[in-house]
Amino acid sequence: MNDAETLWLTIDQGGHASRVIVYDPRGEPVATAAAPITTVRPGPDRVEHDGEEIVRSVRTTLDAVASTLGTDTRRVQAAGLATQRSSVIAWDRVSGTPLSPVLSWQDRRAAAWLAALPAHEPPIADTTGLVCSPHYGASKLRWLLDHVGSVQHAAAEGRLAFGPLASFLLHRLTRERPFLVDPANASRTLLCDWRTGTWASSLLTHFGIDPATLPQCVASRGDFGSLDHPDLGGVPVRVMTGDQSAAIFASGVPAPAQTLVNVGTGAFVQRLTQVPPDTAGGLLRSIVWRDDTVTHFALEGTVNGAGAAIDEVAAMVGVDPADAIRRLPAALDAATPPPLFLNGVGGLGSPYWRPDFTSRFIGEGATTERLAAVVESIAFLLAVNIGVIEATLGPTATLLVTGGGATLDGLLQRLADLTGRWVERPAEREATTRGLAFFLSQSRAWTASPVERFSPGSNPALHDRFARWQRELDAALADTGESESTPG
Amino acid sequence: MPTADPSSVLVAHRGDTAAAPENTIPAVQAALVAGARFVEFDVQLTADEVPVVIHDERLARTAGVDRSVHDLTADELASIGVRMPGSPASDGVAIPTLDAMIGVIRLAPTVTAFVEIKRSSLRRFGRTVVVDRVSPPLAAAPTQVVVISYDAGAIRETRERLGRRIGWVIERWDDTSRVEAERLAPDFLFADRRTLRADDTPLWAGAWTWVVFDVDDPADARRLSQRGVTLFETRTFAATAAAFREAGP
Repeated sequence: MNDAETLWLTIDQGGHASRVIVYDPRGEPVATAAAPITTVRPGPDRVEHDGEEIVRSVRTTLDAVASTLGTDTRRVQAAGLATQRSSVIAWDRVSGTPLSPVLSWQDRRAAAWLAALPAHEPPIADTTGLVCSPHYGASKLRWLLDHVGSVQHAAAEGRLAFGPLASFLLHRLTRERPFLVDPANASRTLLCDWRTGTWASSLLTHFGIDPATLPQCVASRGDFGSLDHPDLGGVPVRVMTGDQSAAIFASGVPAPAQTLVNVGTGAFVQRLTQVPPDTAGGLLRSIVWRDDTVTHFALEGTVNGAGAAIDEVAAMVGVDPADAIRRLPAALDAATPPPLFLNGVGGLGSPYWRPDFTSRFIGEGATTERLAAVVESIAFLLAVNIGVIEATLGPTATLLVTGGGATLDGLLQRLADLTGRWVERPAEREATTRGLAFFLSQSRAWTASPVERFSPGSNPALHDRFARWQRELDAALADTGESESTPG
Repeated sequence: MPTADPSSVLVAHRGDTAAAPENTIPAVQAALVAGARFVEFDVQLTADEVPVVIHDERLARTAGVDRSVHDLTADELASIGVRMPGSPASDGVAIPTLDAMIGVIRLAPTVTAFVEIKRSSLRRFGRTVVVDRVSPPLAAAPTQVVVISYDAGAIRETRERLGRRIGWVIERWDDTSRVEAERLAPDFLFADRRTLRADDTPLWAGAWTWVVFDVDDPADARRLSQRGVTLFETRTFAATAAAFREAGP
C-alpha cells in the first residue's frame, strides 16, 4: 500500500452474509471481512432475516476491516452501500428500531393477495419494468400494513418508515440517519416508475401506500450521510445501489455486447443499455445507475433458484448444504448423466414468471447426480434468459460470470457449451463490492480483473438433456396453468 | 441490396461452415453469435428412426466413415464425429439430434430455422414415418421452424398434419415446377443459384418468399433481389455478412 493513496470502503449486504471490502485506487482489495446472517423460514413462502442481526453483522465487519487497516482507516475517502434488492423492512422512523423482520426478496407471502388484484390496471408492468410478482416490495409492504400491529400503530402515529432494506441500513449505519433510496433499490418495489426512478403515484394508490412512509428517491451517487462507527466515523457514504446493479460494473462500464451473469443465492443475467428498451420479452427493465452525467438501464433476467436451490435440494436429500457445495465440482465432472431438474425454487423466474411452480426431478439419480442436475438447471435457465436478452439487444460477444457460483467450472463450461459463447470468469469474484469501488473511485483507469476463459465446445449429451428439459418444462407449464403474473 | 443489415437477408446454410463442421451445433451457434436471424440445416433418420442433423445419407464426406446414417442407430452414430474438410478425425464434432438442435434454436427466439427433410430418409422410411419422427422435436419451437424439402408430398403432409410453415426446394426451372409451386402455395420457395436462368427475368411471382442458395457475392445478391429474391443462403455467414456490410445497401 502506498501511504498517499486514498481507499474506498464497500459494504455488500447479501442474502447469506454481509461483506465489507476496502479497495485501493487500482481496484485491489486491501482489507476484507464478512459475517454470515441467519435466514428464517417461518412458513411456506416466508423467508426472513432479523434486521438487528443484519445491522450487527455489518458493524462487525466494519470493526474487522478497521482493525486490519489500523491507522490507514484515515485514508478511507468514502463508502458505498449495496444490498440485496426487493427485501423490505419496516422500522420506527424516530428510534430506528425494526418493526418487522426483513422480508427477503425470496419471500412471497402475499402472493395470493397480489393475484387477486386486477392484473392490468394500472399498467404495472409498463410503469415498473417488472412483472407483478410477490417477490418485489409492494405486496410485502402492504402485508406489513395489514398484518403487523406495530406497523399499523407506527403508521397511525406518523412514525412508520418502510421500504427497501438498503434504506433501513443507511438509516442505521450513518450519523445523519437520512431516509433515502437510490433508483436501483427503489425500482424493485413495484412502486417506482422505471424510466424516471421516482415513486409512481398511480401505484402508491393501487397498493394503498402513503408516500410519506417511503424514503425519498435520489440519484445513485450523492450525499448519503457519514458512517457512524468508532474508527470509521465521518467517512461519507457516497454511493447507494443494489447488489446486482453494482456487480455489473465490477470491471468498469461493461463493453456494449457483454452480458453479465452473477450467481449467488439467485442468479441474474444483465445487459446494460443507455437507451430504455421498448420491449422486454418477459425480462425486467430497470434503472441500474443514475448520476448527474449518465443513466444506465438494464435488461435483466432472473433465476430465483441458484444457491437457494442447492440449499433446498441438499436439505431434501439429507446433505448439509456446505457439504453439498463441496461435492458439486466432482458431481459436475462425473460421467453419469444427471437427471433433469425443473427448478422452481423461490418461484420460476423470467421469462416464465410462475411464482408457485413446483420443482421436480425428471429421472432417477443418486445424491451427487441430483446436485449436478440442480446446477445444470441453473445453466439451462440462464441460457434461456441470455437468448431473450440477445433477441432484444443483439448477440453477446462474451458472458462474464461472477458471484459464488462462478467458482464452479462445470457451470461455466455448460454455459459456454449451451450458448456457443466464450465465458469469462474474473479472478476477483466479489463483483458487487468491486462495482461499488469503481463508482466511488470514478477512475477512468479502472482495470478489468484478469479473467479465465471457457471456450464453447461440442457437448451433445448436454444439448440432448437441454432439449428434453425444455420440453419437460413446456409440458409442466402447460399442465399447471399456474401463472399469476404477466410478463412485462 | 434493399437493406443495410445483412442478417435480414442472409440464411446461414448448414450453420457457419467456416467456423465449425456443417450441420453441427457449433456451426449454428457460430452463425447466431455473428447475428444470423435465419439458419438452415438438414435432417435424416437413423436406423432406429431418430432424426439427426446431417446432410448426406452416407458418412464418407463429412466423417470419413463409409456407412449410411440409415444403417446406424443413434447410439452408434454418437461415437462418430463430423469434421471440416481436411481436418483430422480427432477434430470430429458430434452429429446432433434434431431435438438438440431445436433446443439451441429455441435459445434464439427471434431466429427462423429452415429444417430440410432429406429425400433419402423419405425413400427409406416413408413420408408418414419421417413426419411422425420429426414432429415432436419441431413442436418444441412451433413458431420458429419452417419445414422444407425437395419432396412436395412430404411438406404438404407436414403442413396438413403439423400446421407448420413450409418451403419447397425446386429441382428444375420449368413449367411443371411452376404449376406445382402454385398448387402447393408454400411459404417459401428455395432454388439452387444454378437452377435459375442466367438472365434477368423475374422469378415466378406468388405468395411465397424466394430463397436462393448459395449466394456469397453482394453484387449477385443485388441482381437477384431485383428479380424477386428476398433471402440468400450462404455457408460462410460471418464472412458473407461482412462482405454485404462492406458493399453497403
